Amino acid sequence: MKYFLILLALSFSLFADSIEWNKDYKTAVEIAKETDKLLFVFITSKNCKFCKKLKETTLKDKNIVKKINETYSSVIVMKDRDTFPPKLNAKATPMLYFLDKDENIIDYSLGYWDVFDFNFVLKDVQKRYLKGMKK
Amino acid sequence: MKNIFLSITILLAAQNLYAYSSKGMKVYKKMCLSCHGSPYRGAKMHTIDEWEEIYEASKTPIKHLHKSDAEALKILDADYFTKKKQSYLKDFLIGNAKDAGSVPGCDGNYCGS
Ligand code: HEC
Repeated sequence: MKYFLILLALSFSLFADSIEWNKDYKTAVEIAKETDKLLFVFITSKNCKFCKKLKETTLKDKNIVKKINETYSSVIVMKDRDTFPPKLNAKATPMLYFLDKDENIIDYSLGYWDVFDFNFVLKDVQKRYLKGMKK
Repeated sequence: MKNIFLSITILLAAQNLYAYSSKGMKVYKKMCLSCHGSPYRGAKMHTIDEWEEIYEASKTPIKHLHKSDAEALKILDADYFTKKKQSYLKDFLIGNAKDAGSVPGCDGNYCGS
């Protein structure tokens, strides 16, 4: 029984293959502050097929999920529906913003990326964050 | 008649521009892809202003950026990377910079709504 439980726990952690999305922007900011993480804001819109593709392929990749959950407090918001600061503008979607926990913009990324490229997106954000660059 | 000339001129210019940036893309694929991701991703490392700053800061900006990376320098020192190819690359990088309007993975420049 014990082994079964351990195995079960292990398999949950192994298959924790999704990003821990917070329920709204405000909560994501609170969690970022509490856990000293950065913020990842995914702006989507109605009938946005590349948002769906990004969310269901690249953002399901185990390594990407792990990196994001380790570093970011995440949230998906719907343009023209959900509440989030207007400075996070999105003329097109998917638009991704990476903020520090005080909601300063570190970096942004527009459009769909596959896993290979998305790793570079994340690397760029880290570089900019370390450099203390704003844009 | 004048209009026909005008449209031919525009067409040729556009084609030229396109060829220019696709030449740059070819250079990118050969010289940069393995370390910086696909061509559009690489170009979107920086905004137009940032690329221009990089290019203003040095005569051989790309080599300069990698001056402490022996592995990259070995690739960038190849004879292939001529002045002409470097200028194709520059046009590609600036033309597809993060804020240049091209959106990867989407139909043309249209991405959702
Ligand atoms: C062998 C691997 C390698 C190759 C090939 C390579 N780079 Fe780099 N590049 C690096 C490394 C490593 C760095 C320094 C760490 C970083 O900033 O990611 C770097 C840094 C950069 C930076 C600075 C990033 C910043 O934050 O300002 C730019 C721009 C850049 N490279 C562009 C290019 C371009 C364009 C090419 C092709 C002509 C290229 N690189 C080829 C490995 C490489």
